[in-house]
Amino acid sequence: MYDNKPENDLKQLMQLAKNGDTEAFGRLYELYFTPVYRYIYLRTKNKEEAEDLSQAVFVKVFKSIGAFREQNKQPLAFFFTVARNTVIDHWRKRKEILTDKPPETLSAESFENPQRLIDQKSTAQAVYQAIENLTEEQQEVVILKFINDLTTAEIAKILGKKEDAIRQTQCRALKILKRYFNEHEI
Amino acid sequence: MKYNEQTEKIITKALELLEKGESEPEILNLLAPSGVEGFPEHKNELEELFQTLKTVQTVKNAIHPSKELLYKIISQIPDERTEHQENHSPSFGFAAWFKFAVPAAAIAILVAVFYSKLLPEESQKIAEQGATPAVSAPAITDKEKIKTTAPSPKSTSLAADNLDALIDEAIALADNQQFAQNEDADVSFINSDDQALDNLGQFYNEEEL
Repeated sequence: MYDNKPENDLKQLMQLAKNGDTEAFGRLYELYFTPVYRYIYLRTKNKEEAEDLSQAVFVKVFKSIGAFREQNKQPLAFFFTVARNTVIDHWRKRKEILTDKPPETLSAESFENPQRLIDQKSTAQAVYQAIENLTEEQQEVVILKFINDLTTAEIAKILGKKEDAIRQTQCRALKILKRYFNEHEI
Repeated sequence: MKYNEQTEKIITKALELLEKGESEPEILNLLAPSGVEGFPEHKNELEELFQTLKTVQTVKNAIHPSKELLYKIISQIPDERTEHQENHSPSFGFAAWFKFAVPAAAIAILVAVFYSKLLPEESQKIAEQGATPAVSAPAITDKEKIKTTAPSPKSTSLAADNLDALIDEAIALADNQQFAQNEDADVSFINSDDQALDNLGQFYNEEEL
């Protein structure tokens, strides 16, 4: 769903990569690098960590691509599963969850005054703050579904939940976001 | 509560339609050109929903990893691959090697044990044979070799073939008689006096050859 390439092409690309085709790896990296980075950045809210973890994700994918079974998973879901596990491992190591930490590019003052964010045309940064009002699961669903364009079925596989549960989560998350945006006139 | 549940269902349905590729106007209309059932009575809620989605999706354009990072990762691929293969191939190679090496080693040990038991007996036999004159097997004539290797032609209806077959049979009969004579000579030679054999052994000097 992420890109317009047919699924078979992506699976073929994964198969080539599994067989050691370095060019195929490079193509996969180009395709999935930005969505994976976005996901990690929104989960960590830290540029350096996002860069380090993105790098770690692709190294892990590279090393574990032999475990990829095309009949079970889409390549994008495979990448995001690795990305999610990498973020979780990172948090476990740090023994902290960065839910209260604002994005580094924002000052505390700007969070107290969301209108100023709009004035500064920083809607995206206001969205970061809005997302942080969600639960962990809601955050993951919103990031995967509305920012990285995964399907409900793909998200259900990644998170190990039923599709109905994902639909319910995304619906509630959107309601919270809508309320936040209305309250802050975003 | 009832309203919330209904709204939730409508939002869920609208999101499903979006995922299937339906456009916002199609979803908002009662009956869209594609035939999808719309939700005109919930137009306001759905318009707010779509606006919320658009706001959330602004993040897409706001987050851009540096291309240098991508190039850095891609440039590491061959190194990582080599390292990975070096780390893993020995264990795999050893496992594969182990599968073949163990049976091969077992076979080699068995062969070695077999020969270690057999060879002393064989060497003893050879030593014994060296002390007594060897009995030669009846010499195989060239004709016999031909006979053993090439079967005699079968008779055919042609006169020439019949003649050839008769000649071959006669040769084979003569050869068999010669073989029987040689065999009798060998038997008598074996049964001859030991003294004569010793004499023969004295005549035979291996080093002169």
